[in-house]
Amino acid sequence: MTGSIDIRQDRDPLARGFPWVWVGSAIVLTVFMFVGLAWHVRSTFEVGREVAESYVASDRLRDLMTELQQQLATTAILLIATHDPSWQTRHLEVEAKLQEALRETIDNSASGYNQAALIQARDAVRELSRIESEATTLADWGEVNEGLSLLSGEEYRGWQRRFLEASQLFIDDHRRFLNERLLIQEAREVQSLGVAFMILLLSLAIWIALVRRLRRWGAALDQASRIRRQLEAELLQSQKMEAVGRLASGIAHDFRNLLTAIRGYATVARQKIQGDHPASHALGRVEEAADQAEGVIRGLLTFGRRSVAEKQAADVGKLVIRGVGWVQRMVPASVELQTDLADDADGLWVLADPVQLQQVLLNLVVNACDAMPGGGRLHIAVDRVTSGASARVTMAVSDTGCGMTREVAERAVEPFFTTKSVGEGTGLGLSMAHGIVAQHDGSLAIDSAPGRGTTITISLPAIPAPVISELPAPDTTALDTGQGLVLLAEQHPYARQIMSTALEAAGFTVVPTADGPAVQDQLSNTDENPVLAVLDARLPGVGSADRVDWLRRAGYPGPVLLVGGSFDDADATTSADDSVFLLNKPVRVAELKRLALGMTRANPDKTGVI
Amino acid sequence: MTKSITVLLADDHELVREMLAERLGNEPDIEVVASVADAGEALEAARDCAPDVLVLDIDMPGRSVFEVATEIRKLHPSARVVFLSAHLTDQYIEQALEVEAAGYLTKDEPTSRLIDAIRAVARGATHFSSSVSERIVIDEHGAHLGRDHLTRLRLLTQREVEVLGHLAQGLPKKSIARLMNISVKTVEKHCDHVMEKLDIHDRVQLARFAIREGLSQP
Repeated sequence: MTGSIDIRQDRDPLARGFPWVWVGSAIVLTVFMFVGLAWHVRSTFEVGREVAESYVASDRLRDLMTELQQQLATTAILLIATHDPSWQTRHLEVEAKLQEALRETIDNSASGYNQAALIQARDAVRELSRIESEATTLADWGEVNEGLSLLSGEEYRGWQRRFLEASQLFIDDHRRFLNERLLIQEAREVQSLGVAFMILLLSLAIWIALVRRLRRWGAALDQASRIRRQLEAELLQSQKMEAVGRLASGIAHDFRNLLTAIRGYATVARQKIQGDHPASHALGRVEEAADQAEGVIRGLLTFGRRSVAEKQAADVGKLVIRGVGWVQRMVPASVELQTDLADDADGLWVLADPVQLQQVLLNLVVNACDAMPGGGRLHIAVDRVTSGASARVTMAVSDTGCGMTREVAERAVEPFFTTKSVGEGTGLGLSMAHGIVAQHDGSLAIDSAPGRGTTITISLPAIPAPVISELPAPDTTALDTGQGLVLLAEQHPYARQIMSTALEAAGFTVVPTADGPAVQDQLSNTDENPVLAVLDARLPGVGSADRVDWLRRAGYPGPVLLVGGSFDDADATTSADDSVFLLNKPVRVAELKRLALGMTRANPDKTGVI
Repeated sequence: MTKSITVLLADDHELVREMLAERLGNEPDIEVVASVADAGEALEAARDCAPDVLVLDIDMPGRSVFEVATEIRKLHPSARVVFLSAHLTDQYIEQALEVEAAGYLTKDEPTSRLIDAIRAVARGATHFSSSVSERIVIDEHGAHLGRDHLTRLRLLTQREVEVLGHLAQGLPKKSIARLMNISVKTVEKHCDHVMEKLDIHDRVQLARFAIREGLSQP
């Protein structure tokens, strides 16, 4: 019937806000990836184009150099053979063109050409020119054959070979350079591919995380919805019980008024007739019926939490031990009674009205016994349950009886709902238990099924064990009645009236006074010696430091109950006197009465000695 | 001959009122000088006849009986007030003590107790049902209901009580924040304080507590 839902976990799962950081990161990564890809495409095409152009250009250069070198040789031979000055001119043009091509290529270092090979080619061209020049000079001197021999000689062919080798070296080196450039670009693209792959992995991780987050949100929403439904159901039940409680209280309220009139008129009628009047018996039955009806009203008011609880620190374990003592008499012999009390170091303390808790125990035991007409086992367990920072004390009463259907269990705490035969139950036992438990901020849960027995568990907030575990019960037989005169000095008129009445109810004769002079008057004028002085610590007309001394000087040597809001060191010294008791306000009237009785008994020899 | 104690009776239940009037009228030292059906009529009657003792039912329609008791005591400071009610609540007891009632009885007690009470208060004493008197404490300011019996609602600030009421109605924190014109974080802070002070850590129990304290109407 009850649930435990931690409100701190019941938060909106979507309330954490939109994950802008994630979205921003995803956008930045995407932009970065596509911009990078575009740059790489452009760069790759650029490099490819440059390599291709350079490849063609170097080939052309090599072809040009080879062709020009051949033209040089040819023109030199033709010049020697023909002595035609036009070949001279042509030869010089070709030589200049070749030198110019080589110089430009050497100077263009950005092209990545092999400079050494070009310089080697240029040197070879110079040597070839030198030999050609020597050959033309010989031809000019008429030694044509010698000139031609130079051009076909070993040295000339050697330099021609070196030129060709240098040209080949140049072209090979350049192709290697271009290939390296392509390889560098390829390596760069492979690196970029790796980066892109990493980004892709990261994106996948983000997407997977988003999917998981969505699932978590879905689960949280499901849980929230489930909790909400449970909450609504339990709230509905609470509201229903509250409404029924109010209805019951309202009925009880009106019914009690009628009953007051019935009982009152019965008394009036009894006053007017003689004891042996024929109506006397009938009046007695009216009063008897009214008393029974009063019990029903009390039950209804308890269910509706219109009864007052005298809450105090109570050990549920000890209450059960005491309760079992008298409950045993009601348990049939065929029912085996077992108790199981947890041995918790923190104790089983709750803030509760012990009488009402015993009423709950009694009602649950009666119901359990009624559910086992053929006998069975009745188990009473008390335990302490801790959940986080809060702790509760539970008392579970289980039987092995006939059990209840779910429908019956849901209505079990409603007043006048009973499955017992007419006349066997009022239908208020569980209602009263529910009302009492609710009044103590507790809960009542029913676990039952047909044929499986019933367990009713009440749960109350636990409190720490009090410093004084249990106040000793006052010896009421000995302290029932006081006697003698009590001097009561209290400045507040209303408080004085109440204290005075309480002391009178305890059997004392009270002399109420409002200030110091009145106390002195009473002490000097009274014939009877007070057995106790109850003195307000802030009584007008009395010093704040020496109130007991003042009382002694006024001629009162008896026991003093000094009642005040706070006491100082001087009071602590005073309290060393056995006949003086300091009592801090607020003071319970019942406590005042008990102390007055106790002090007058404890100090019989110190009283009445004026 | 001893002077009669004049009594004003106020109870909205006619049968009860008439029975009490007849029962009290049978006592030689008690004279019922007025018998009225609500607190307003009681005030008028008290003006006219200045009774020694007023026996006032708490649960009467119309004006608050406690307000009226205060006014009557201003008019006639010597008037003694005895409250009657069909049942006890902490609130009733606290209010009765605030107006310095001379007595408080419940209607399940025999009428003879009321007669005793009238006589006691007439001579200046007080007379409370035992279940009331055992819970009265005396402090620096007079007499009050013992703090142990005060509802735990007193532990909360007005703002926290308001948040508790909304929570019990099932409102989400965002709506509560909007209603109270405060931030959601402040609502959460109030919630934490409420749960800490009441030692209640789930919403169902909070709702039940709020219903019980009358913060949430079923």
